[in-house]
Amino acid sequence: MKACVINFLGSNCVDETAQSLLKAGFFVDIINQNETNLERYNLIVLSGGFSWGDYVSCGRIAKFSPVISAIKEKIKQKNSFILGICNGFQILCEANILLGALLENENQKFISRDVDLIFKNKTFKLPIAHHQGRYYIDDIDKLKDCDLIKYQNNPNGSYYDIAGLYDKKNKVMGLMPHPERNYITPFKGEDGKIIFDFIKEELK
Amino acid sequence: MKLYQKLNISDFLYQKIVEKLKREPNDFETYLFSAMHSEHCGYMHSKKYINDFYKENNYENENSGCIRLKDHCIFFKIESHNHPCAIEPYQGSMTGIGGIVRDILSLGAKPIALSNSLKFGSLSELKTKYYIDEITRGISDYGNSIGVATITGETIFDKKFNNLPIVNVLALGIIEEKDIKLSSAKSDNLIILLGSKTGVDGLNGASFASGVLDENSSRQSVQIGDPYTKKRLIDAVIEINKLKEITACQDLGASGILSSTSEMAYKGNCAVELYLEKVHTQIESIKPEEIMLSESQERMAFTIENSTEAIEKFDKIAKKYELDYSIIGKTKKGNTYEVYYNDKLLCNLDLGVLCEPYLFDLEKKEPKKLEIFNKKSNLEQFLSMISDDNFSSKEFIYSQFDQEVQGRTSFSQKENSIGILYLKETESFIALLNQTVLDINSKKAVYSAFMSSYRKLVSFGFDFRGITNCLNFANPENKEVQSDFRVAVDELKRLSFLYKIPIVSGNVSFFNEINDEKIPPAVTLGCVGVCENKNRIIKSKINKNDKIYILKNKDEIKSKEIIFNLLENKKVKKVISIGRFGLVGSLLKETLFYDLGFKINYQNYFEQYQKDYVLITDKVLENAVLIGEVIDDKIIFDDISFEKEKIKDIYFNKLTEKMK
Amino acid sequence: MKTFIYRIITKLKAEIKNPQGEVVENIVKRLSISSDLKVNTGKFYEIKIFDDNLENANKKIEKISKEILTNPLIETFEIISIEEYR
Repeated sequence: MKACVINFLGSNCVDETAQSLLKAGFFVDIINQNETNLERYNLIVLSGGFSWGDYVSCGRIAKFSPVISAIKEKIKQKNSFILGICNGFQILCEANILLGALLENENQKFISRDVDLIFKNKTFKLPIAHHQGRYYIDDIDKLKDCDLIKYQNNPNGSYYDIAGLYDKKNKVMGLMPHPERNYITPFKGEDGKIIFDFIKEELK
Repeated sequence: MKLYQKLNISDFLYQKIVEKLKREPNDFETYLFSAMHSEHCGYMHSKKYINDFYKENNYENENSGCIRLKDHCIFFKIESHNHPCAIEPYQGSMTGIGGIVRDILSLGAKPIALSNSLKFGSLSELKTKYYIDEITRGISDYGNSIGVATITGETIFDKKFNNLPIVNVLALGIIEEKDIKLSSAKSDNLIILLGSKTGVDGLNGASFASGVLDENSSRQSVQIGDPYTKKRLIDAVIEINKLKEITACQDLGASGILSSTSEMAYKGNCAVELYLEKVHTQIESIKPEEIMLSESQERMAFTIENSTEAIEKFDKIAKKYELDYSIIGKTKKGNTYEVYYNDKLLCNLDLGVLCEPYLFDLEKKEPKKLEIFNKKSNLEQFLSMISDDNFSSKEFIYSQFDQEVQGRTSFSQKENSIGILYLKETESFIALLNQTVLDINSKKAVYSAFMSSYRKLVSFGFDFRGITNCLNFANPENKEVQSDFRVAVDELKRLSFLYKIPIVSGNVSFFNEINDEKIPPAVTLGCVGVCENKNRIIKSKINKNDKIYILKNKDEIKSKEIIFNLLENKKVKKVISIGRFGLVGSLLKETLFYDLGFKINYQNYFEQYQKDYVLITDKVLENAVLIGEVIDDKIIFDDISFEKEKIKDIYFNKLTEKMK
Repeated sequence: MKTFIYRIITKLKAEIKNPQGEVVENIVKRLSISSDLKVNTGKFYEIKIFDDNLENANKKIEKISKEILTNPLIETFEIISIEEYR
């Protein structure tokens, strides 16, 4: 199966995300924000980082990239999986590909630490590293078609303890924690595998 | 008042310039000398003393030095940003990171880790909280955004830093040795300036950082950081430096275009012609001397072969990263520094005169031996430890730094007092730590910092391989400061030769005083260790009933072998070197992490940086002294017993509470 | 070609918890300056548009404010002044 990681100007988790996908068994391309041909990819990943410096708001400027329009088209074909990690999740929300928005953390500070998560009755630990990760949705009923990744100990004031969500109908997942970091680095554990295994299962 | 006096050149130094130049400099040249012959650029009070450390051909004459690992070089350097942080802490700490990253980048190395050593005043001062908030936020906003992990650091609180925080930041990068680009220019090349527009921000920061601060020190000379441009600059420079047509690369730091272009040419034995009207600038009204001295951030200079093909290749990369550039001049045979503005010649200087300022001699006296009186009881020492803010966890600071971006961090400050990275390029691990010991005896301070770093690396299974140092001192015109400085440098020299640890890079920061308040000598070491044997790195949980041993350290090298052996054979769960708060303090930090206490019986509970190692294990060890065990809910030593919960709260929560 | 200067404020919608605002509220209360207040925070933009007429410039500013400066789910914007630069 073939995956791509989008390197927006300012993305900074592209290399390790690509390495993780390789380890998970994908062929991986790194493409930039101007790419519009996503035909050959089963999995499209928006990695973490600070696209356009996050200067107006996190992920705000990236949504105007040609690759975002291409992703919207690709979703309609229902043959692929879209994953947004951290800044990637922020971009997906800003582009209205996922519901909700991400606000500044409740303590107004960047938070870098390990958090306990629960997804589909599985518990696991992944690191977070963000300043704007407080998930907001005006009405929880809007997420009835989504599986939720939840914090066990809400670190940033996210509504309903939401760390990430999976839109089952469109096969789009966004999450603030970084699965790629706890997967390829020695001594960091392999909990990130839970996310990559789930994606492979969904793509079967 | 003459121009040179307005620019803070002393009468004495001005005379020296006139003697060397054999004429009076014109106004434009006077501006150039005010920057190049400042302490910040010229190292005039320190240069005579910092060049003969133990070395192993580590590129130490470049912007940063390195250690070698297989066919790769690991470049690292620490630098101070004290003056800018005192005036404008947020921008000051941002541009501190920006600056040190450029020193690594200019060799073409990819920056992969950051660390910091922060010294703040007492937490009971409102001003200290302001400095902590702003400096932490600056490092966080910049380092996180450019995608380089801050894997470790140290924070020290001491009332002597109430009005002048000390901010030392370290960057570390990796490159294959064959790809390295040096900073000495070749003649008949073009000079290209890449990155942000040159503006009037950070004007003449070099001479600003070379004077004693007073309350009127202005914010105008502070630079503004732009991490998004820096991130693109990092990616672009790594790509550009791989072009064979690029002959040299140099970052723009102190005294911007002036020092970068003159030093490149001086190192490469060639001459320079600059055309200032070609520089891409922020505002039209900028003056020629402002263009020369501006310290606008996020800029790099290159020399490149003079061909259309070379420029096309350069142009393609700059466009890809949406970066501006301009061709601002050329190199030629000779030894002159010529600057033109719209065809008018502004200066024609001998590069030797411009780049070699007058160097001062410093006096050295033998340090006074100090006797320690009033020996406190164990209970008193324990109580004073837990009431000391330096004892408590600094999580509220380091949790604001991305510790894992790039996916290389095996251990960070989250779990360790040192940062450990895995390098897939060489299949080895490197460890990074910062260590400062404050002591009025600067020899003792350097000794304790060096040896405790050595032992800390050993305790994690690492060979000590290299040092970068940042020497923070007060006004070097003061005889006592001169002597403290020379004593510290001599001790560092002695130890580097004794243990054969190369000093690969460093930085000197003088004039750290404000309103007659001097900082104490503060020698920050940035230490790098290497471990090529994965088996020696242990991650295991400490449990109740684990035994606590002391390994007597009679010989540093032999003890290292014993410890490496214990680690490789999994005979121990944890080896601890003893730090600032002695045996009890070092053991506490370890057991509290696992929500456990301990019970020990020994004699030397609080001696700082003592040489023996502590071992925690569930096995029986020979040749080590059993002193106690890990227990559940108490801290027991001597005949003293404390509830663990209370100490735990002080350790984990006190500083967060105090910062509110 | 004329130059129009717009001054725009963006802020979080009132119903969304604003931690920066709360910090200001708390310190004001602690210092006993006022016991009853509500603080919201936002960002300020000054944008120069070069255009032949105001109507066109207004359209551009609407689009910029709606699509770039704010996310309508969480933020609102307000054009607080328009000036023609002479």
